Amino acid sequence: MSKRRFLSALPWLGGPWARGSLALLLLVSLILIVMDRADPENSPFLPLKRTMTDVTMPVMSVVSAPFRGAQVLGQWVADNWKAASRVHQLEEENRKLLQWRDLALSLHEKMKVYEQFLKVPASPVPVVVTARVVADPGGTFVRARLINAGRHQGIAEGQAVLGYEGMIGRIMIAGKRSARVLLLTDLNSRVPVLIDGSDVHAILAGDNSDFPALLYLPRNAELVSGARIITSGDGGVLPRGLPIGTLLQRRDGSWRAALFAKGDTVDFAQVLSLPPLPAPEDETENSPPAPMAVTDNGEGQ
Amino acid sequence: MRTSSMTARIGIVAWLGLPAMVSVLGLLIYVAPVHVFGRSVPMPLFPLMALFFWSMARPQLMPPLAVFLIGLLQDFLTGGPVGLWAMAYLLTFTVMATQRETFAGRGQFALIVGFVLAVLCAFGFAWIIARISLGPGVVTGRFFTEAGLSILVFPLVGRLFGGLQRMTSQARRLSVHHAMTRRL
Repeated sequence: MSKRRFLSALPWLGGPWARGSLALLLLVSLILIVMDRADPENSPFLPLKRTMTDVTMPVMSVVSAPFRGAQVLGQWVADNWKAASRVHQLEEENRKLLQWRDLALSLHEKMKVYEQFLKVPASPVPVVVTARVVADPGGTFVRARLINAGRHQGIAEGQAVLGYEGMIGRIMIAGKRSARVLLLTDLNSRVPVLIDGSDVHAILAGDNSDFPALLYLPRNAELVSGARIITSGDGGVLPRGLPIGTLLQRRDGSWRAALFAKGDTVDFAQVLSLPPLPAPEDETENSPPAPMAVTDNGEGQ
Repeated sequence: MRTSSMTARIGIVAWLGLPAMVSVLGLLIYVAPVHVFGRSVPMPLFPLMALFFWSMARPQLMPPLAVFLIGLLQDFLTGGPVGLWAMAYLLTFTVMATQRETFAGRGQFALIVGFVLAVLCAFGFAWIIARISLGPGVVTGRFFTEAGLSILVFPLVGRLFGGLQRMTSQARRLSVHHAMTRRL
């Protein structure tokens, strides 16, 4: 009886056919969720997601154009409003950076000599792909961005994505001409990190808040608020040393990361494409030898 | 003669396709990156507004399959679990179907109250599904902002939808009239 009353409240659904389709679609939704979340890394929808990013990217570029225009205009007004103080600040920064440049160049020379002396294999040079952020497809539960470069530009899943000031995330899905970036703040983001100047390793885990948590910190680690956090390179997916943020201690004693680059506001992103390092068991007798430190005249040591 | 037949077809297609077109456009605006003074601005959930408006105003133009497909497109565009918003919208749609007599055709205020209920349902169902599928770390900060913004802008957007609906209804009536007169 109650079932009949409930169904009578849905007369506009168009009869039993539509009501049946509603139940069927609810069931299909449930099946889709289970299939997608059973093994998110190998979701059966990954190819479809890749295609969708490619298909929607041009549309998103068009739709986001007016917002981008308004944003550029607003930024122009804001920049001009405080132009004098900004110039002063930039001059100050430039003076400091010139000092840092001199120090970096002298350290670079010293490092090159040490590497030649110790015959350290040369690190692979990453290829940098710059792309525009065309969509903010995070929504309520996901922190992600859509960029207008994909596999055709050498982008692959897992690669690091940087903003102006530091790392903002990793490539989650790489389509042909577009890719989805999973931000460091996303619930599913896990990045191995290192506290600069110490030997403390941890996992930077996003939780959809602006300050991702640091998991698996050693118990007796001596940490200082404000210390730099960089990628550790553990796992071989991300290069070591990418700037991430600074250490921040909460009132409850837990450690968080204050990110250098806010992925939410990045308009252009740089994707670091590193050649994959083969595992020893995968290397054959005919594999090319590992690159050695290169001298100034280009000869391997 | 051929022109009037074409106009008639366009009128009917516009009337039939308007809810779906508006929902998809609203979804694209929802995922567009909008920054104000260097901060990302949460957007109102425009597709929910479209789904709610047409399920109240012209339910025959918003069948369950359209609701499912719009939800599924949102899942693919936002990169969330596939099926999350599809299911949340379908459940909201079912709840609102049982309450249509209460909110539809009773003026603007009743429609806004109905939309508040729809927002609570949609975000509530989405949160429950996200919590089950993504784990306990799902935070609610942006969640409340988006829900609040959606409620805040609905009176304005609802009027816009109403205007569009009237325009396409008029176009459809005219096209049907043309077709009838042509037969006579």
